[in-house]
Amino acid sequence: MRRTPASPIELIERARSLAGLTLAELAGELHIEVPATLRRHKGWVGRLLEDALGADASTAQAPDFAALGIELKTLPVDASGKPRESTFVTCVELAHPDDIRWETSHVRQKLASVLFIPVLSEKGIPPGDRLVGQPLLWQPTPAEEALLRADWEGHMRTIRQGYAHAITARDGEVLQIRPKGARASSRVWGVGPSGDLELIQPRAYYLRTGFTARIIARSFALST
Amino acid sequence: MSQDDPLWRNTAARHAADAPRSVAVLPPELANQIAAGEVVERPASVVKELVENSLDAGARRIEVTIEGGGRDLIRVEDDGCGMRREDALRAVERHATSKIARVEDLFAIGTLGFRGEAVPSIGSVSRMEICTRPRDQLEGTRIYIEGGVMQEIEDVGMAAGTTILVEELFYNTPARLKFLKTPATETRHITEMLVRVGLSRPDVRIKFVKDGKLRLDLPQVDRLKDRILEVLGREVYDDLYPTFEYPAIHGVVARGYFSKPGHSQRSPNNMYTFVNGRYVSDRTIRAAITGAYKHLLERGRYPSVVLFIDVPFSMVDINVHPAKTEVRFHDTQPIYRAVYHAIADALAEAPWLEGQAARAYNLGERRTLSGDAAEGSMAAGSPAKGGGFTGGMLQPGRVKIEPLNARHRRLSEQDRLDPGELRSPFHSEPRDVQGGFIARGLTPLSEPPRMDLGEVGGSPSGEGGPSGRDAYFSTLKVIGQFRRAYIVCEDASGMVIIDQHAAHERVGFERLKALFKREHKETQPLLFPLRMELDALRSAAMSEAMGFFAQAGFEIDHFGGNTYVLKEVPAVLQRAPHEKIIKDALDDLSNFGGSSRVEEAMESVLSRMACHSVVRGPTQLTLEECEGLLVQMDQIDFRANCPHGRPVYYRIPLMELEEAFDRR
Repeated sequence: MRRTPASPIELIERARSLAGLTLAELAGELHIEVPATLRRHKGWVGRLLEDALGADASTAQAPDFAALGIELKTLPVDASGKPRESTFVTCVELAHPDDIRWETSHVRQKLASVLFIPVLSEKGIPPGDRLVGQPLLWQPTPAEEALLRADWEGHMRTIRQGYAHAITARDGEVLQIRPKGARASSRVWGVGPSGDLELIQPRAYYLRTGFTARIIARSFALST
Repeated sequence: MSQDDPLWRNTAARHAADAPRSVAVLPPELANQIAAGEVVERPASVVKELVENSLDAGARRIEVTIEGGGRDLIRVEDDGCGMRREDALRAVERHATSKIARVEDLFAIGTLGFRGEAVPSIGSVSRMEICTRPRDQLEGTRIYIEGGVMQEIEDVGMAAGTTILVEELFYNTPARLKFLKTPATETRHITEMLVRVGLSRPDVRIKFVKDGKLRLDLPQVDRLKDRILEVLGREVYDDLYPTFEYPAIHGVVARGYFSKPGHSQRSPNNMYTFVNGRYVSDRTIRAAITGAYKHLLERGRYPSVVLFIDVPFSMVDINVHPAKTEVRFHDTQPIYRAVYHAIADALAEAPWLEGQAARAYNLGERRTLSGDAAEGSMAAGSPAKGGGFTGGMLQPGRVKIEPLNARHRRLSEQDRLDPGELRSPFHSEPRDVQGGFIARGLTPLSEPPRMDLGEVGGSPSGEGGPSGRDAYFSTLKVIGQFRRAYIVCEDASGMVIIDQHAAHERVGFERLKALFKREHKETQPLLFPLRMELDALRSAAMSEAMGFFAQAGFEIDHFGGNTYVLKEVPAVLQRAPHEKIIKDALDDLSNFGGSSRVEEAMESVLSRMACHSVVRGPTQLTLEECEGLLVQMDQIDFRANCPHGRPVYYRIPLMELEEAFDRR
């Protein structure tokens, strides 16, 4: 693993130097074995890029580059630059929703400054042949933050009323909540309809693909 | 490669020696015949060599006579300085010349010939008679050579000068004779060659007689354009305009005449280019000429150009091929720029409109929408302004008063404009940290903006425009609109119809170009960098061209070996074929030392944007809008054609109308 970058500029320059490499080339430089498939190696791409860039996060809630306050997000996209899946942000705080405000929420902290690294992930391309794209250091515009906040506050109202289990992936314009756990039977403490804590399925925030697609589209050209 | 490969057959490989062979010096006759193979390709090459010798001998009159397409007879007679007997005898030996003496002379060749190969080469493949007399001697010398062997030497009475008679060309080399075309074709080649010589030397009388009939008789004239009239005819003559006198670029100056865009032909035959007085067919020069006409001529059409390029001797090597129609430039950039600016900067001014403007004024019916200011500045003595207001100002060469023309002043004025005044289609909103992209991010291109002529400046106020040149369109009186697509106007001596879409398009295009020029640094990162595997030649060119591409807005990194990675592109080219543009530009850089591919690609995009941004269908315009458009037309470059090369206006002279109504 490489040394943690000392500044955002150094981080960006380092990320730019990776652009154009295949994951196999990058893994070769770091002496990391490339899996034949990612089915049993979820998160391998993210960890590879974290290692290559020198991420230093010590906890799950802290940004990947804690000293810089920058979160790293790999973004699987197709050849036309369209994200292939929604982007995990952070787990939903289900236990004490009354104590959380947007300004201090994990979602706000995680999305304050994000380093997106697109990775070409067309169907049929083996993991090693996938191409690392150009980095994008993104910070939400006021309009984007307003959208995120509106969705988050809507979700939190439902959670505070004890109906977290009723939130579906269709709720939220740009920020959605979906179940997330190691297993389907995983449970965490959360507020139930009676107002008391009960064990419920863990959930997490995700950025919808349309939201990330707009960010990518306005920032990059495609080679022709 | 294996000899077993069925697709690989190389005759030379089969003839390679497998044992040492003895080496022998060739007899002189054979050596001369071999040399003749390069110098004397056909009768036209004989005529060329002999005529060039005449010009180098200071001839003011040259008469060329041929029979049988030059195969039977070629006679070149001149009134040059002639040769003494001993010099004439030496002239028939190979590598004997009066034009150079030392190695250093090779790098300062001012004469047309210098190799000392032509006369002996011609003599070795024909029956040749040389009669020559210097002015200071009473008797001349006659030498007769047959197949390269001198047969007779005697005194002869003749006028001062030299006459060379070549009979039965290639009589002793039947293989070569077989390659000759019909007499008509060979005559055409000779005529073309004499036309080039004629254009290069208007001060020399040239006569050409074919089979007893006079084919060409070019009298001595003082002005190049008079010679052009004789050689290329009235049609070309009327459409030619003097080039812009651009200041010398590393000592390189190009001057001559070019045709207006409305005049073109399907072949480049009328592009006559001379380097230091020598006719030259050079790719860099041609590329510069076609580059100057881009967007003004349709693909596959060529202008008429007679261009003389003065190049310092140290920058050009003419010792490339015995025929000397090819030269090698040590640096092609100054050549390209000098030729390009000489033509493009003059084209931009559309000087053919000036004559019409002057005619309108002279007839006393000139109506200006912006005339007061123009006349005011004329009174103040502005040298380049209002050329149409005095007869003398319209003469070619008036721009000599200033080193740069009105176009340059206009461009520099545009550069000084307040950025807020004109809003670029590539304009970036000020970036703040909250807005993201703090490292490399850029505001992407928006959809092509709809061009609002009122919005992008150039109001039809009474300022006469920043062009500082003769107004034409703004002097027209608008009569009305036809089918909501054409503006019908009149000038003093005719009716002028303006294609309003083409006019809008040109105005929009020039404005976009001006805006883009100031903000062209904007780049757009590629989502996935493009790996380009280059061949060895392009890779070598790329290693030297990284700065060129960086300046154009391409960020390219060397990836190792012959692989390069393209990471950023100019924002305006985000949808262009990047790899093709880069490879084409590399080829140009290798061949010409420069390339306008990137610029061309950008202009192509801008031209499309301009086309889409203006009203395409029939649109009702008010009188004020029509007049506003005309004023704006006078404020831009290349005002007579739309960006695709189509004409903006069509003029019907009053005389033509009157003839149509039987009034004349």
